[in-house]
Amino acid sequence: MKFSIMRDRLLDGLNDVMKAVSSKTTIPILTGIKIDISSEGVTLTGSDADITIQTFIPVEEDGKEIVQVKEPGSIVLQARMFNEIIRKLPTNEVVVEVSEQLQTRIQSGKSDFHLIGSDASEYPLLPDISADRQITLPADLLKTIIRETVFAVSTTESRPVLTGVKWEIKDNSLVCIATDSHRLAQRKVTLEQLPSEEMNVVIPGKSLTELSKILSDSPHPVDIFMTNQQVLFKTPDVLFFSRLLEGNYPDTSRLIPEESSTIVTINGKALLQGIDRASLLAREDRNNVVRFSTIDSGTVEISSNSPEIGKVEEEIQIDSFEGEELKISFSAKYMMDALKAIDGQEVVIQFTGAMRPFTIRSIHDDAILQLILPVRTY
Amino acid sequence: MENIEDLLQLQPIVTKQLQTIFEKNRVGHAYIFEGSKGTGTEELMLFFVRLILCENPRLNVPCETCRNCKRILSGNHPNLHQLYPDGQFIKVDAIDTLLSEMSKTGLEAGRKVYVIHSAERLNVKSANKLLKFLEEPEGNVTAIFLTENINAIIPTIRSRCQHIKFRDIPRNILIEKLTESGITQSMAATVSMLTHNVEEAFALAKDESFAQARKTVLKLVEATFKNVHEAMLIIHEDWLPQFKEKEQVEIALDLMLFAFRDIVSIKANSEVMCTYPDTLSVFKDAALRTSFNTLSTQLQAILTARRQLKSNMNKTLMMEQLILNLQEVKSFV
Repeated sequence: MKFSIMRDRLLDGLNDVMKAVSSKTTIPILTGIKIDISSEGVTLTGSDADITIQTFIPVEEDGKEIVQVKEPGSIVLQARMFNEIIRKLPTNEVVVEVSEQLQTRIQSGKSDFHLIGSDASEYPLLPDISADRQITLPADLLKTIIRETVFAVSTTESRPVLTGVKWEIKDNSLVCIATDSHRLAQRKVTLEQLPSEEMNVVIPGKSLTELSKILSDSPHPVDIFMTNQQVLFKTPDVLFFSRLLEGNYPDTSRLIPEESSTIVTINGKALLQGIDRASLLAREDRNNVVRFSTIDSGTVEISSNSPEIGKVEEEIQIDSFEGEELKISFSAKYMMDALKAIDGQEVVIQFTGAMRPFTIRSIHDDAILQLILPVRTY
Repeated sequence: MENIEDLLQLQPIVTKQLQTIFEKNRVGHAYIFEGSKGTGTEELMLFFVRLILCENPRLNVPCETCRNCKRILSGNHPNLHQLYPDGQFIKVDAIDTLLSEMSKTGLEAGRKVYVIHSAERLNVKSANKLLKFLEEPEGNVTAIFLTENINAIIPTIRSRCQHIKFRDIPRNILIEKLTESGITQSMAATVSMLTHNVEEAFALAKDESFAQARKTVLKLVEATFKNVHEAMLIIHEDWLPQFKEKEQVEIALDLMLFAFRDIVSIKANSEVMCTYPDTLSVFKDAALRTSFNTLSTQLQAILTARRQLKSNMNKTLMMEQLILNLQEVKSFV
């Protein structure tokens, strides 16, 4: 195989795929990146087994010739080495040529590198994608969805399936759920075009965090394909594959209480700041517990008391109050995470007693739902 | 790589057994392959994994030419995970990585296989961590444990796996093979006690330092029959300068153990096949003069020394203690 390419454009592509390459991999071939040359252009693939990033450099872009394909083919080259070499080449034109024994020659100006490659057939195969299991979301919305759910995934490996976010397509909407069994975040999105069947995958939280780093804040559409092995997010520049988590995600629908005995409407930002202050005196090692109690129909009190440190009380105005009086304790960290995800709007908090989980939603819509389990205090 | 004919010759029963498992489509979720060095556990594990993952197996033999077969041999198959001991043990970290790997779907479609080499080196914590996943694997998973000693694996793991026992190469066949290729009868008898692998045995028999080690051990054993001072002298003049590494001492102690084992065998049945046929007369003499009880205590003493070596005891002190222990028994007779 042989091709020549503009160095700047190749570096851009390498930058994207290098994000997936990790030096800590058990499969030796994954320390390399795969380069596929076809008559349409150059495809680069990098992977750390969990996530795989693929990018395509076309022969022509904006009327400029970028790649000259002399002979198609595939090769796997050491990722770090190849990246460093390309970065330091003297001129903007790079010629890459692979001889029969996987000897790769990289030429630019007067410098001439010989690199030993690996057989491209050793590289893992990416799954076949079928269009009937496809949904499309704008990039900025996708990013928001990730931000609103991924914080709630479990960080311990005791139940691996909880380290992921469940994506379920059902009744013309996409529902994303994350829980670590103490709290739950749920986001609903109504979809315009629906796939032909119901789908249900659990995507690792780490992969989603990586994905959101790559996504831009523009409303460009991102196509999402789900297969049995992997999920693919397809943006104009890159293809992002992630493995899925095995196992059955617990049924969360029964956790969300349907009726409530106390409903409080409050400004999310004011509450967030109040809890932030109260948590200063809450002890880290005791789950950061703060107490929330209703005083009258116009105010609630946030308080925290650590005998060894001191105590704090703060009154916050509320917009409306319905139902029974209530005193409840919960983790300040979970509450703040939830309020940050809802983004400072007016929120409705629905309680069903001091020992039952409560939900937080935005007043405007019920796309986002946050559920928190209270803490028992005496 | 060994082909199917070699495997069938090496382990006819196990190879057939694995092929039948595949043919009947009854691949289980966990196996223990037990067999001592040179019995081909590793080769048959690779054979079995290739058979399971091969794209077009023919007559229960992997094709060796498809992508999957090639990648299993080169270690690049994404659905095969192999775990080796890190130092003395297989550590919890390694198991954690394995479990988080196994909790995800495979990079490629098909069965996922994980192999734990030297499974007897799983420490208790690691083994227990693995248990739950071993019992209730998520998805299509097969575990293969390779071990030389199944009894060193905790019973809770043993009971969750199918046990596949690898047969040792019969010793007389090994000796025959060795003598055919020009090794002396006595040397062949010794190396065949240490290993069951033909190539390894051949290498040992050719090894100059091994011949020297054998000589020193025999000298020491003979000296222990005579008097303690001479034995001590041999320890300091020959033994310690010669066996510096832990592995060398381990082999030397094994050789010593075989010598005493020979004496016991000779005492029980004079026709027996010895480890050291060349010193038969000395051993016969010793066998006449020592009781079974004494010999058993002496064997015990050597085994204790071998254990102490594992827990890093000072080698000089350990050897001196061993000699005194061997001697002490004698003085009671």
